[in-house]
Amino acid sequence: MNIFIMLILVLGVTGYVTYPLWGQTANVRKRRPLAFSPLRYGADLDELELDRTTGRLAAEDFGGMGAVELPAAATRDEEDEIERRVRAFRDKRGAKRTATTREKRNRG
Amino acid sequence: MAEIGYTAIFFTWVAGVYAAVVLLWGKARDNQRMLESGRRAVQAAAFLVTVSVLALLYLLLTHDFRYQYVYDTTSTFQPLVYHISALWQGQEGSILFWLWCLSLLTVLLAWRRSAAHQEMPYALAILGALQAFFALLLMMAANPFALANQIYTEGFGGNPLLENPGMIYHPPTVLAGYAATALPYALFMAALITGKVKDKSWLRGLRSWVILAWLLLTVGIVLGAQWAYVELGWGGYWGWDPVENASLIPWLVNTALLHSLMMQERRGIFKMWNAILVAATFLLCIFATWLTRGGAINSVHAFGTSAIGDIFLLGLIVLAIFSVLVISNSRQLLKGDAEIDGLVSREASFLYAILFFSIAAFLVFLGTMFPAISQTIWGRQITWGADSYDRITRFLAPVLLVLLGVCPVLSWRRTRARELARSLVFPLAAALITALLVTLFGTGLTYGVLAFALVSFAGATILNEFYRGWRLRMGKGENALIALWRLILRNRQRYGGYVVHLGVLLMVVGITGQALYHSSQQVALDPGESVTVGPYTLQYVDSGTEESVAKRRFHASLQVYKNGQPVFVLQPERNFHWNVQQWVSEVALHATPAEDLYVILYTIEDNGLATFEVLINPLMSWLWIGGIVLVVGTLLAVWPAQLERPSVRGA
Repeated sequence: MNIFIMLILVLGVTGYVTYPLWGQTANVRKRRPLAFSPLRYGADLDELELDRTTGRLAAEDFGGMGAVELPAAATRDEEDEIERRVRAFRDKRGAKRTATTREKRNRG
Repeated sequence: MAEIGYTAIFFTWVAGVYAAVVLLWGKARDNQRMLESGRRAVQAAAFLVTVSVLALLYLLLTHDFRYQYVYDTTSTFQPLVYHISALWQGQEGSILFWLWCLSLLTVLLAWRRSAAHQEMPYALAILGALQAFFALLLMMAANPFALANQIYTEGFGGNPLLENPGMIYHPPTVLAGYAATALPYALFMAALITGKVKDKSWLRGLRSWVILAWLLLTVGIVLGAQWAYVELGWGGYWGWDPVENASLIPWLVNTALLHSLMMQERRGIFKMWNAILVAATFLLCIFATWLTRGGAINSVHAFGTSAIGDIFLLGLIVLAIFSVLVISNSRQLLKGDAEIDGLVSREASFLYAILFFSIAAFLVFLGTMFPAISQTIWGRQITWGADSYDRITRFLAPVLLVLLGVCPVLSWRRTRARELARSLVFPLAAALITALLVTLFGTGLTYGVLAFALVSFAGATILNEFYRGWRLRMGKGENALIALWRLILRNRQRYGGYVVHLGVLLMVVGITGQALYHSSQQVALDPGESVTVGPYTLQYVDSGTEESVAKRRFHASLQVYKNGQPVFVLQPERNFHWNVQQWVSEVALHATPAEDLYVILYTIEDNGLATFEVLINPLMSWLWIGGIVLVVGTLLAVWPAQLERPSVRGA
């Protein structure tokens, strides 16, 4: 009986600990902060790319501008999550905003 | 069940090593999957230690005397609660409990701070390595699941002094406090490695962990003192025992750290102090555990010599080397953002506080280790007695009270002499009036006059700070209670700190009253005879004896009169415990805010003649009341503010 419990204990713990190495966990993506800076300036969803190393959303046209991170979590399908976040962000901040003179200058 | 417990410890070690390796490797390769796996490993370690703790609890509650630990710490005639407290009573159990606290706090840290924080993998790797160290210690030298070398039908039951409610709350609080100091240590070392030490939001998070550790240590030490007072039967509460000192030293250093961190957060100074103090606090907690378990000193708390001491010492040395290397490699990062402008300024006052606590910690450390130091240098052991520590305390206490009284009124950067003088008029007047009153109605001009005058001085300063803020808010049309409530709520760190300082002052009142004004009398009385001590007359009414499987209980009844009127009955006891063949006193105590009446029964002859010691400890209750105020103040200062709403932040 004890051996059976120990076996379950060890296998369960080993599976839980190593799962991120061989499985698809939400947590791996969940903990990446998403950058939303391009959204401020009306970038299209198609322009957005998820940088897997930094976990940031970026669009080439907007490179060099101050990035803004939200404590966002991509827990579901990646594309859906990006779309949901973008919609929520735009709903909160209103429609597309025109960049300020300073921002345009920074954009070069 | 023991096999499950031991297996869980073994896999805790595996999980700890795995977490440390995979987190460092994952960080080096920036591999999110490895980092997530490492984070899960520290969670798994906590789960496994919990399994091990539950397995040991099961053995203790089912009286499975096949195991040495269960035999050593329990017996069937003990109340149930002492079977549970046996979990941390013995050496092996207390180390398992240490590891359990460390593991649960690590999980809490991993949950509170996102893995996206760049220092987190390093912090969790350090904590994983510590978990592995403690698990290794349990496997190699302190296995709580070891079989006894013979068959027992009844347990030994442990030391009868430990059968006190204090056993339920004092050791776990101190052990949790020791374990909690590992978190600020790991976070700070990780921040030094990643260069994040300048980040203010990180500092705020760090401070909460430092306060948690400080709070646990404070509560543990005060509860230990209270336990000693009611159980050990010598009328005091602090014996300057090496193990008591060993818990006081990290507390003093942690107190210095708390003040130092405030300055880094506010002015960006004292970073090097913080690095040294955070490392010293944790290393001193390991030192305290080593001192208790390594057999390096003789103490009522010590567990005796064992291999565990050598392993602890090795761990202590490795940690010390690691800390020195990390701190010395981060010298550039630890340079302050500003300088102290004047010697009479708020910044300088914090430096004085840090120096005070550091010097106090060093002196207690020196005294504790002096037998070992003198043995090495002069070839003979010289021990500091309680008198030596008392002399140091009498010198240091006024310095602390002056700091408590002056520091709150100092301005940032520089304080003008006229401004300082104006702020100190009220506190000085309060000190003078107190000195006069204590001289006139007390026992003349003594050290107590100075102590109470300085308590009034510091108390008046703090109350004046409350009054000034409160009056300002009242001026805005708020009613008195709301003004006070909002004053504290809007600046909880500052006013919570003041409440802590008020708690310290109340404790000083209790300590001074007991130390300087206590009186005692030893008497031998026949039934019916009386003795008068202070305002009380105690009449010895009768005595009795009862015998049980655990002990023979001798008790005496004393009717207490005050102003000729019977007020209450006291029943001191003296019990002979069969298992340890030892006498243990159970004192009788009547506590009021003015004084404690404390009676110890020494002997009862067959003809009823009994010897007692009757003590009057003035103001003693204020020590415990001060402890409660101190906890309330700390909770006020550390209680989470209204949760920040998610907002867009600049990266």
